[in-house]
Formats: sequence, structure tokens, C-alpha cells
Amino acid sequence: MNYLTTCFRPRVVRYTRSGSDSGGKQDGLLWYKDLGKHLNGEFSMAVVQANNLLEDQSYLESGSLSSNDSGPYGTFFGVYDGHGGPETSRFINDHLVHHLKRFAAEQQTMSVDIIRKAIQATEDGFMSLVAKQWSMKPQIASVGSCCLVGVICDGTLYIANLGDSRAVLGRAVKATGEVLAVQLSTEHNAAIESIRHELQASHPDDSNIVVLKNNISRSIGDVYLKKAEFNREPLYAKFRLREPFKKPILSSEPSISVHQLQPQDQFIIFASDGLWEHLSNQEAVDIVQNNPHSGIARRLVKSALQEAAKKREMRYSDLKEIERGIRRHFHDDITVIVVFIDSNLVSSASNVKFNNISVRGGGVNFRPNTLAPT
Amino acid sequence: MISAKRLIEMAKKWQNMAARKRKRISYARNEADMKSSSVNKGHFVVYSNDHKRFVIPLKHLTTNVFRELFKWSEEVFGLPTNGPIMLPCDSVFLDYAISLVQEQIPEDVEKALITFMYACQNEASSSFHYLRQNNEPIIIYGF
Repeated sequence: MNYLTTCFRPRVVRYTRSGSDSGGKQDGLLWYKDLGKHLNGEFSMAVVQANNLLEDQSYLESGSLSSNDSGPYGTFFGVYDGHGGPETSRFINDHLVHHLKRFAAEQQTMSVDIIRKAIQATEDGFMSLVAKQWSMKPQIASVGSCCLVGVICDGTLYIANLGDSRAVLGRAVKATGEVLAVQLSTEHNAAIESIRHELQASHPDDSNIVVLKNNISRSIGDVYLKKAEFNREPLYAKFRLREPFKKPILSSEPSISVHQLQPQDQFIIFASDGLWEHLSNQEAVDIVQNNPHSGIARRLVKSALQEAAKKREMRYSDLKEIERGIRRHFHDDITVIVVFIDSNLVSSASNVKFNNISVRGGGVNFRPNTLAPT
Repeated sequence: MISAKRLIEMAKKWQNMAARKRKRISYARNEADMKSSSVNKGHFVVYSNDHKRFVIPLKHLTTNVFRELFKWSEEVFGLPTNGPIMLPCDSVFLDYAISLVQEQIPEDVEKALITFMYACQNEASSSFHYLRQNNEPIIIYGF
């Protein structure tokens, strides 16, 4: 593995700090960045909004992954699919990467432990925000978000997940020339039998345990399902559970996996469940494999919307004209990040300057009562 | 709050209005027929809880009546996943609702209809069943 580690570690790269965001385009409710460069290859991002306020948030940053602009170097990407409102997913987008970079600066490295601590710090931060705003805005206790994070650093890919977003790797099979879909993230959805069993085993006294909002068993936020003191007035009765609970119903412990990247690992598709409810892992991988890199995230979003239009028995051209808000009945917010991993480029790029890059998906966040651009 | 008597009066009025409109378009189709035909441009599809298919012009999506119908549907069924959009009311009720939307209903009638939907959200749907007097074919809009 040593040769790969060296190959993924840029040796003489000079990092210059660039402004945040490298632009994206907005076309109605679709936001996209067709192609950008990260430290280990190219990437493509796309977001389509269906909710009145975009609940999906996403972010990619590449270059220095430390708050003091030194090592470790690599690429960070995250998809945060909010529910009950946009507050939690926005909070994660504003804070998680900073916690990560702070811990990485302290320890001068990247590790599972750093990622876990960054997620925990984000959860703690949101809990404090809820405690602060609770009396004025009790609804904040019922808002939550899934959280899917990927980090590529020194030839290693880390994937951390809470909820039902999904990371899928496209891996080339030399003998056949095919590219296989390998799911990298563990999903926490109570519709999956093993997750249901896990929940029942950890809550033997609670008969309601599988009746969860969105069926998700782990998340950031959803404080009213984690701390009994928020499962009461002034939170609206319809959000509250009738029976008190002793143990948190939802967990905020991420599943984290570590993969040593191999030369046959071509790309990673990161997406919220809005995509995966319409495309299978292999369908998505085939689309990425058989089309140009530029605009690939947008193409995946389009394929999902075409599938959604078919299920709702209408035309795709009509579906994409439906305005935000009412559109959530036709499809969910969809976020896709495709990160290509180019080991050749990385090994030969050792002398090339790489500017830090950061892109926030979704571009403008609309306020309530403002009109979407036409 | 509107009394039950007043609601029934209004419902009868709506029923008459709908019956007048029904003369204009009158062919019935079942689910299987419709699935095989292509979808009209500029329309969306919903199903009533008695499995009738309605093809409705997209412009009606932004009306208060449809916003409330969709909200009601989410309360009852959750958001749709693998299939079409189902509304928790029967075809008779949906017929009235659509004809009212097409007539550009007066504000007070719209309010009454929405109040009725709210009331239904707390009870079982299909409260309008007893108003159904004949087996006329269901109206397919948008043709």
C-alpha cells in the first residue's frame, strides 16, 4: 500500500488561498457546477430543489484540510439532507468542516477519530442552539438532518454516515471492462430489517420505536427524539411522542468506514435519498461510466427526475416547471456530488500548483416568501 | 365553523354545478386504458381513493384548493414514493373540487371547501359518499 500512499500524497504542492466558492449556475430550481478540480481529480455537483426551502445542503472543499492552512491535504465533501426544515442541514454545512479542520490542525493528520469528533462537535453545537432558541422557537427541536461525509486524504477514503444518504464507489473490473457499483455507506433507515432489529434490541421497553419520522434511526438534530426535556410543550402536540422515553430514540453516532483507494477505483457518487429512490446503485454508476465527466451530476439528477415523472404519470418537461413547495409531492430535494479519483493525475500533479477550492451546493438559499428565479 | 346543514346545502349546490359541466366531457376510462396512453402536455395526474384517475391542467396546482388537497394527502399517505399521487378523497368530491377550481370559485365557497377538508383530516375521508346519487362516468379533465 505504501506506493499508493505516496502516489496520493502531493509532494511539492504549493497551496495558495483562494476565495471561497468557485461558482455554480442556477437554472430555475436546479443549481449545478458541471466540472471542477479537486486535489485528486475532477468533480461535478448538482442540486434540484423541491421543498419550499431547500432542505438539502452540500459542500466540497479541497486543498489544505487544516484550519492553519498546513497539512493534512486532501478533499472533503458532504451531503446533508435536512427534514422538518432547513435549519439543521444549514447548521452542519456552516460548522462541520470547520470542526474537522480544527481537529486536523491539532493532530496534523486525518483519522476516523477526527471525523467522529467533528460530527460530535456539530451535534453538540446544534443541541446548544436548540436549548438557546427553545423558548422562542420550539419548532427547532423537531428539525433534523442526515449527514454523509467523505474525506480523501493520503490515498485513504473515509466515509461517515448518519441517515439514508448514500455513497457508491465505481470500481473497474479489469477482466471484463465493467465498472461495478460498491456501496460504501451504511444506511440507517428503519425500513431496512437489520436496522429495525438494532432499534428494537436497544429499546426493549419501547413499543413505538420503529414509528420514526422519515424512518431514519440516526441523525443530527431531531433533539425532541433524543432528549426527553424537549419532548413537551411548547413544541406542537403533533410532533410530540405520547409516551415519555428514557433512552434517546435516535442515535447521533455515525457509521464510519475506511477504504484504501486502489487504482481501479474510478469515482464516488455521493447523493441524498432523493436520487436513490429513483436510481439503483448500478444504474447511477453506469450513467457516470458512460458519459463525459462534465455535467455528470446534472445528468444523474435529470435521470432521477425522468424516473420520477414516469412514476407520477406525467412528462419530464412539465415536472421541471412545477414550482418549489408543491413540487415536494412529485420528488424530493436531490443533491449529487460525483468525485472522480484520478491516480495518474495525482501522481503527475506533484509539481502543479493547486489552489484551495470550496463549493457550496445549492447556491442561493431562498427566504420564505421570496420568489424563485425564473 | 360551518354547520353540517350548511355544508350539505353547499355540497348539493356544487353537485349541481358539476352535473352541468359533466355534459361537456363524458367518456370514462379505467386505469389500465390510461396507463397505456401518453400523458397530455401541461397536465399532472392524481388518483382518488376509489382509484379513479384525474388528468388536471398544471395551472391548477397553484390554487388553494389543490394546495390543501396535497397537504391532506401528505397527512394521510405521506409523500408519494414509487407510484402516482393519491388523494384521500373519493372521485365525487374531487369532481366537485375540480369543477369549482375551473369555475373560479368565489372566496367564501373556497373557504368552505377548505374548512371541509380540514374537518375531514380529523375523520375518515369519503364523507361525501352519501351524496352520490347515480353512476355517471367520471370526468377526465384536460381533453
